[in-house]
Amino acid sequence: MQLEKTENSQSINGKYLKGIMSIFLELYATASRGYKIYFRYTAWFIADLITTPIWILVFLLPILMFLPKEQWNNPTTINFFFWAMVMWDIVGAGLWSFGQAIRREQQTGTLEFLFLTNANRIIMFTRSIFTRGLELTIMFAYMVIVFKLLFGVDIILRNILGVIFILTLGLLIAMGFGEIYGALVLRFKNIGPVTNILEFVILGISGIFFPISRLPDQIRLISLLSPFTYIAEMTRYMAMGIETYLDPGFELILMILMAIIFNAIGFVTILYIEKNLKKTGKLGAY
Amino acid sequence: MEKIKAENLRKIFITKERRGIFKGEKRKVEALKGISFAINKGEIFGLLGPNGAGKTTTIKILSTLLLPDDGDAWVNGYHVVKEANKVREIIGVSLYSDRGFYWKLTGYENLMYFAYLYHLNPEYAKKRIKYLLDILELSKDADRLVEEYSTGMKSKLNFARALIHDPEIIFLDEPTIGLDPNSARKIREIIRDLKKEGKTILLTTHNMYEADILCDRIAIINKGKIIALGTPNELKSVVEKDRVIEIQIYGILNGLTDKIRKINGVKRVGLIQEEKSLKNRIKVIMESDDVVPEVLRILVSEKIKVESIKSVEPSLEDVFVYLTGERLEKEE
Amino acid sequence: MSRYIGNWIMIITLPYMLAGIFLGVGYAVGGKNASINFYKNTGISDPALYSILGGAIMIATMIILENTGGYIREEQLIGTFELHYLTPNSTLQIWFFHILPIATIMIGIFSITITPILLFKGNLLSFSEWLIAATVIFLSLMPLAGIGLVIAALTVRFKEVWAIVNVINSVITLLSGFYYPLEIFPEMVQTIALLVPSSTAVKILRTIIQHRYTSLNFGPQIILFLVLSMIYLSSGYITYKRWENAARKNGELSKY
Ligand SMILES: Nc1ncnc2c1ncn2[C@@H]1O[C@H](COP(=O)(O)OP(=O)(O)OP(=O)(O)O)[C@@H](O)[C@H]1O
Ligand SMILES: [Mg+2]
Repeated sequence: MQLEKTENSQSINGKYLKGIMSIFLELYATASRGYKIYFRYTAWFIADLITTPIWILVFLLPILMFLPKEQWNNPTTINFFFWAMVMWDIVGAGLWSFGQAIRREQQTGTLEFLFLTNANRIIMFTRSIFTRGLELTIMFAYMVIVFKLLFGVDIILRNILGVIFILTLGLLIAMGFGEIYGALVLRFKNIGPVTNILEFVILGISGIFFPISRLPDQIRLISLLSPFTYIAEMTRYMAMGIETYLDPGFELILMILMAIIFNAIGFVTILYIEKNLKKTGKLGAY
Repeated sequence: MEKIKAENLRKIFITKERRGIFKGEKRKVEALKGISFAINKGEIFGLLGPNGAGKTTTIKILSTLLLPDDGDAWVNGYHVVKEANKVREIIGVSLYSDRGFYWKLTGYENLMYFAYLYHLNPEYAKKRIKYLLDILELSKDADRLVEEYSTGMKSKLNFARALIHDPEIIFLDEPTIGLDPNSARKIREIIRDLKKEGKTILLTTHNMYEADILCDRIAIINKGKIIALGTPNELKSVVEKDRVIEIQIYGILNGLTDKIRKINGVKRVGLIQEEKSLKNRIKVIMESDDVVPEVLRILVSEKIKVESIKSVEPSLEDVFVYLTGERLEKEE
Repeated sequence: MSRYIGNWIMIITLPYMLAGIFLGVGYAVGGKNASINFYKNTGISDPALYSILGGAIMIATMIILENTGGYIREEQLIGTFELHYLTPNSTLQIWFFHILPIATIMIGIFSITITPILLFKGNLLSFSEWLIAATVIFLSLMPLAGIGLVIAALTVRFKEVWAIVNVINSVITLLSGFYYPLEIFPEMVQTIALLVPSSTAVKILRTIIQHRYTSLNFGPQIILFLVLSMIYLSSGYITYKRWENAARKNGELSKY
């Protein structure tokens, strides 16, 4: 059975933007939406500023217990810890921001209305890239000061452009990773605790506190499977000139490939999620 | 010309029943058991039915938010599953929900965000949103955060979002629920204006009066099936030959309606509970006036406080009582 | 219950995972002198038990803190909060009686958490040791519940409650010394830490479980717990009542 099709009468008088312009429009909408909300949650912002140095201490002091007191202010050790903290932010972005994106819209009750539009699914659900990027920048500058005050150590930045490039690439990898993880979040709903565990596991195996060459062989193999290992390695390479485990050029290419592949798989995952939710009728569930 | 067509739509939901601490059983809920209808261009078509009848499910399938298990549907000639993108372009949907907005954005910003996701030209979007906010009398609250909105304001905003891209085909799930009489009237006026512009509208409602005055045709749906379909007048002819009396009482006694139902010559009894007062209405559909004394006798013997008894013209409500048999749900 | 099974598993395993990370990173960074360094810094030669014990107490502390506030927040999100609110016998009691069972559960969880490592060391607690440990936990959780109540009160007023919880959590964690001795901090900070009930709990439990020393006189500490309980519970109650009234006036109960 077919009805007579009337062409959707949409092109009248430039009512719609088309092609690349519509993509820009989506990017603009998601970015401005993100920033508006971000700055309206002032309490979060302030809380972050207060708690960041505290959590740094809470996490680093136990590790410092294994070092002699004289080394607690050793620049190399502390610089390693600094980048570890930055990495923590990136892993957190993947799991918490990108990974929970769809689930969060579901909880807000906006998911159905988003899916009523034809907007690009990947743009809709990765909009936190804008706020996360800003946040990372602010936190970065802030942590440089905090580390100076807490440990009296300057942060070494040999190749600042290189660091920026690697961190951006890292954020993109985390984004793709989070898109895939999002499927799990939706499947198991309140996955918060598991996310916490996963975050620790990832941080643990990705050699963010020390070069992975120090790890036993078997564990190093696992490390090499974690995408975050390469982000950590390359960041330290750019910032401190620490040797990477594999050839730096190779690690860089690997990162670029991962950014592309993860996001491609992520896109497919999102489409799959959409279809699945429409089958089970869980789009509007809490 | 048919703008919307549904053929034999079926949907089964799998739900988990939670009982006790560890037990969980899967259960199938047959929400739609094969529903077919067609809606013409420029028509206002109403879906009427008790809670859980499958009205929202139907709307969600037609608006591509839910995949049917079986059956087909077309909107503007496009298949809702295979050509979902095309369908989405041309429909506007308002679902009943008092969530669905970003609390930390203002009403205006929320609309703007969705306008952009619909790829509306910013200039056009601004004008359109201003227009919609104006006719919905939301303009003065447009710059307040949605978290401060009342339920009614959110409903109106929801309505505005459905119309944001000036769609040709509009799905409205309980558009006037939660609105005060004035706002509800306003919405109904807008719906009529939309019809005048040639839009095709599918709406669901619990409000018989609303269905009667708005809809060109109505489908009464119960337990996932269409049990009657026609113009309001056609539907009313179902009870034309019958007599209907309406009894206003204070409070309600368990089993009262059952007792009345057992009287010889009584065809259907419906109980309509008014939410805001303690009064209830009982509608009795019967073959002839001869039954009235017997009804009164029961009222007296049960010591019911009766406010009034009157014989009324058959209305859509009675059709509903007649067809769905049971009690009616709460009314606005 | 089964719906939260993931949570329970995580609650029990998290101390082990954290200990794993701290020990793993610690040994990798500290090299072959790691054990000696650890002993010099903490006075204890068993970092595994040290970390797991600290982690177990940390989890209990955080759950108690977040429970009161978090519970309300969730209800607000789902929208049932106002409904609960309207039933006459609810309000404060519900939140409070929510805490007592949780405290009991926390003792159970704590016991389950530390059993594997003690079993591994072939050194289980005797019944009397366990009883003292349980009492200490229970007593220290009461003032924490008071703090939780303050958080709950703030919840009604400030919707960004997790921001507040996060700040309070971080300060309490820092000053409890779950993973390091508080002696590394200046004198002043150590004194302030006395206001944090878990810091005292950690000290006592370490004495019992790690040094196996129960004949200590815990009198002063118990008095400290009781005093802190009174202070926090009553200030929690007062704040709660105040905000409850304020929120009722402004009609902000269900605003999320
Ligand atoms: N996502 C879902 N999962 C499980 N069951 C569902 C789901 N959505 C709807 N149902 C069930 O399908 C049936 C029809 O629901 P539907 O929402 O279509 O009813 P309705 O006619 O809109 O009712 P109301 O007047 O209450 O809005 C109900 O039994 C409902 O419980
Ligand atoms: Mg419905």
